[in-house]
Amino acid sequence: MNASENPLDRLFQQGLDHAGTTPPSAGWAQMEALLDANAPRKRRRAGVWLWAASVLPFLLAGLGFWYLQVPSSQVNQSLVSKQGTTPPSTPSISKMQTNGSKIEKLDRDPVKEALTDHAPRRPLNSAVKTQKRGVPRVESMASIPVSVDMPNMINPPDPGDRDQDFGQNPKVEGGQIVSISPEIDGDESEIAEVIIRRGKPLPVRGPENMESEVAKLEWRKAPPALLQNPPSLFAFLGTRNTLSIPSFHNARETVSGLWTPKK
Amino acid sequence: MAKPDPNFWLPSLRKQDRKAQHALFQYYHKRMFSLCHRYIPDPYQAEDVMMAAFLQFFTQIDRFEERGSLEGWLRRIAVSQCLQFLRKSRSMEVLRFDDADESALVEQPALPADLDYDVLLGLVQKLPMGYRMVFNLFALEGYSHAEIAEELSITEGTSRSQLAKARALLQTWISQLEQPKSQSR
Repeated sequence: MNASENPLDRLFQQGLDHAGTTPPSAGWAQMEALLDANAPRKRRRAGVWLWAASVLPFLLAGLGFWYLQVPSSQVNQSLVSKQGTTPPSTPSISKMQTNGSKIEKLDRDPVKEALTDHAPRRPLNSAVKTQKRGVPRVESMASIPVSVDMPNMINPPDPGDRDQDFGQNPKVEGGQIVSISPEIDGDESEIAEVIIRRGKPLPVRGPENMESEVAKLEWRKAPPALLQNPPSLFAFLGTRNTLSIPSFHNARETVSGLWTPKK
Repeated sequence: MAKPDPNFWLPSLRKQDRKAQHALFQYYHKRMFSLCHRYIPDPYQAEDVMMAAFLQFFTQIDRFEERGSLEGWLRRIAVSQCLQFLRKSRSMEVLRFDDADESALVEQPALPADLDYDVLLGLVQKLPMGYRMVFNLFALEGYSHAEIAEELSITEGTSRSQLAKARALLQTWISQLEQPKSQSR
C-alpha cells in the first residue's frame, strides 16, 4: 500500500484499514459449505480418471486376447479360395455357424499361398483407374491377399430386409455385396459399412441410388500396417475408415471396408 | 500475542487443508468484510462478496506466486470481487466520470483524530459511487491512478479528479460533524 501523504487519507487509513467488523452471518460454516460444494467436482473427476485408468489395462488385455484368438479362425474360414475359381461357393462364417460345424482350419496357410501362388497381377493403380466415379478409390495398396470378414459378416443382414433400402438386392458387377450395414437411407451423416465379395474388378453397380450415394462417399485406405492385421479389430475399435482388403485385381479376394461419408 | 505470519499456512493451504483454511479465514474475515463493506454498503451483499473472494482465494491458491504477501493477494481478490459485483449489479452505471479539473482540491484544515470506525465507514459509504471507488482504491488500497484507470476503464485524469472531489466532500462532512462538538464546548 502506498502511504498517502494526504492527512485525510491517513485519517481513513488509520480508522478503517486495520479495523474489522464481524459479518452479519455465521461466516465459516457458510464458507465451508461453499468449499464443499466446490470440491466434489474435482474429486468426482479424479474418480472417473482413476476408474478409467484401472479399467483400461483389463480392456486392452481383453482386446489383445480377442485379437489373437478370433482373427486366425476368421481368416482361415473366409479366405477365398484357390486361383482360377470364383468365390460364390466360399462359405461364410455365418453359414458355417448355422450348420453347426466347427470352424475348420485349413491345412495350408492361405495367406502365404495367396502371396505366392497368384497369377500375374495388374498394377493396382491401373485397376483403380478403371473404377467408375463413386467407387472407392485406392491410391496405393500392398498386394496382400488378405481375406477377412468384418464382424457383421458373422450375421449378414437378410437380403430381403426392406428396411435396408440401400442394401436390398445389392449387386456388384462380377461380384456380390455380402453385407451393408447399417442401412443407408440417403442421410450423409450415416456411416455405412460395406462388405463386397466380388469376382471381378470393380466398378460396383447396385440399386439405382447406389452410385449416387457412393459418389458422396469417400474411401480411405488404411496404412499398410493395418492391412496386414485383421480389420475386425479396427472395426471394433471404431476405426471406421479402414480398408481391410488390399487388392482389387484378383477375383478371388474379398473386399471389405467401411464407407465414410464426405463432410 | 504475536502476530502470526500468514505465509505459515501456505503449504497447508496449497493442499486444500481445511484446518488451515479455517485458521486463515478466522484471521482475515473481519478485515475482508470491512474492506468489502466500504465498497458495498449493504452488509449482506458485502458478506457474499467476501465469501466469493475467500472461495476464489482458496481454490486458486496455486496461482499465488509468493511475490507479495498472502494478505495483499487476498485483498486484491476481494477488491476485484467488489468491482465485479458492482459491475454486475449495474451500480457502476450511476458513475459520472467527468474529466473535471482539480479545482475541487481544497486546503485541508486540521482534522480531528477521534473519529471512530463507524463514523468513518459511514462517511465513505455516503460518497457517491464513483468517488467512493476511487477513494477506496487510492487512499485505502494503495492503487495508483494508472491502476485505477485500468480497473475502472477511465482515464487517469478522471481518477485524479474523482479523488479530489471525494476528499473535498469528506472534508466538508467532517467539518459539519465537528461543528456541533465545538458549539457544545
